Amino acid sequence: MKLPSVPVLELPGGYRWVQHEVPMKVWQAHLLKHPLGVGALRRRQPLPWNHEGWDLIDPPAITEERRTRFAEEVSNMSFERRRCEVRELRGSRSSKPEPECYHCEPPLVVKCHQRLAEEATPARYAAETERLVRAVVDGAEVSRRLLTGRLLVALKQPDAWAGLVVMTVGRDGKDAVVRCSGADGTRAELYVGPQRQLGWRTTYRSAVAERPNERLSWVLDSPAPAPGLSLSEVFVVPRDWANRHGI
Amino acid sequence: MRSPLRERTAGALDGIAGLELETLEPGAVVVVLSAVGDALRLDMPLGPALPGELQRRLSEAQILRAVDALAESVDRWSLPEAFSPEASDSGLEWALRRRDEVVSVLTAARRVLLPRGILVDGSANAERLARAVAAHDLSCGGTLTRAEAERLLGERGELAIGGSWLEYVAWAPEEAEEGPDRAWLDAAAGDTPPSLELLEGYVVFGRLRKFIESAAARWPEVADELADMIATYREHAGRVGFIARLWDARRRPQTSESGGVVVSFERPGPAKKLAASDGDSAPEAPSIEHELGILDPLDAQASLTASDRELVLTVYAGATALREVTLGSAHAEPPVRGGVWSVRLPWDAATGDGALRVRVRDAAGRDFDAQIALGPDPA
Repeated sequence: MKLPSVPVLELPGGYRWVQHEVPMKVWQAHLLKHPLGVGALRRRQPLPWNHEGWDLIDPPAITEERRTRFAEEVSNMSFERRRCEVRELRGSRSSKPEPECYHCEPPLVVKCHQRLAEEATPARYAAETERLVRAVVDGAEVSRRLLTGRLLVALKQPDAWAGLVVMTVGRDGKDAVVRCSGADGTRAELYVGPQRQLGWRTTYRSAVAERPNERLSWVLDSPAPAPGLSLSEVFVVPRDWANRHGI
Repeated sequence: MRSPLRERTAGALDGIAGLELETLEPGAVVVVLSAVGDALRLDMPLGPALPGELQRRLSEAQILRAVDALAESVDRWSLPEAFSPEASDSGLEWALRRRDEVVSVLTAARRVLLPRGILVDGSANAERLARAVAAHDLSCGGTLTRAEAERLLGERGELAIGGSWLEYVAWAPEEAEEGPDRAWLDAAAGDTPPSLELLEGYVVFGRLRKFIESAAARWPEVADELADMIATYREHAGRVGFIARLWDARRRPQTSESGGVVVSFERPGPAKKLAASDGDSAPEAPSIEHELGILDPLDAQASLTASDRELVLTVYAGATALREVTLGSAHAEPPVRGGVWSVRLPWDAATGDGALRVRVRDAAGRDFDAQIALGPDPA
């Protein structure tokens, strides 16, 4: 899968998301973990497969019926006696933190991906990722203090949150990351590489949009501050959203 | 000093000024309390108007409903079976950050309700919240280290200082973990006054004794804040541990006949008859239980129960075993198991000017030695 769909997306702060090929094992592992709910099922107290709500976006990235059909077919796929080892697709459970796709036979990964592509899940997952990043391509820098204050006042105004994506920059352990959190509960993260070149890291969702306090925490939750990184000390929001709110 | 968390908190305080507090639903009250609690924990000024606004316009019912809303959101935390540094886990990051916000919400709730004589910690709502938090093993079965937890806290890591809730989670050991040398913490007292959260940990549990007491000795305003907090908690029947009472007693010494500082505790009033219609029923036997907290320098905690007939001192050993526990003339028998020592002293065995010696010795030869006196319960 190539991300983004265009050769390059220029972001504030001199960051550039240059189109790159995401290794198929990595891509497939994320598709299974997030839209297909393997990650939700692998919690200490398992959650419903659709906990992240990829069946609720418009159009849905997956539905229960499509998931069931895919799971049955992938469970029956094989390559040289190797089969899909993701137990959650067969109704059982593993305690490993990540799906087994990272260690799967490449031909089996390709077959799996082709089958999932028939359900349009990879395309929808990629489109959601790109939507979040594109929202801040021409974004406006705003101080943490100003945006936090404005959002607090907007707690009782659900319309005020429409179209809001907050870009933050910081460090998660050894990785420098750009995080784009949408008020609808979708979040995309990109690695920061040399010369501020970005690479896709992950995309996931959380059911936070209904609760004002959780929605506020979701959009403002940032990686650890890293003063050496461009834009680490400010938030970036979509330009039209900033204009609508007098920022 | 600027920091991302301080900037955000300052923004949140700006925003609160534009809210109609009395109309806020529970989730929004959580946001307000969280921001106010962050400010208190960061020792940021709330401004001249906000404390009064919170007192006038935020009701007890609103705050308790917010605590309920918080407990419900805690129930939705989702943790992995185990933590792997290679696998990013958004659910764990979310839970850790919200866990830290729980501290802020409760800190602010106490600050708003205590002047009204209401102890939020004694409410069923706060107990439910505490149970909800306790139901989640944030150490992921001992696979997450404290350093990783602090990383996942992001900008809230600024609050991960000594005495915070992170001290009480059974994190996985760090690869090159150092011993329990807290010299750095004591040294830190030379730079920054302790936050309200740290003061409260000292007052209630006796945590970070050297750090807090050296700060109180250096900054008169810290000593005043500490004395006010102790007085307020005692006035409203809140919990004040032995170490804080000892510090307070040293400021206004009340000495025994044999000399030395005497720490005072409340004793229940005389037994009362039940209602007249109960006729010859036995009188009530009221009692007061004092949670004493940590018996620094020992790794032990204790409680003291005062009824109208006797005193009971119970001492819970930590990592180091105990050798001796005495209360006045009474000596505790070594426990059969469990490291829990208990000693009873009938009132008629308490002699002299009313001061009783409490002495606890551990297997390493360290002593906790103090004198106590029990007076009438002011309530």
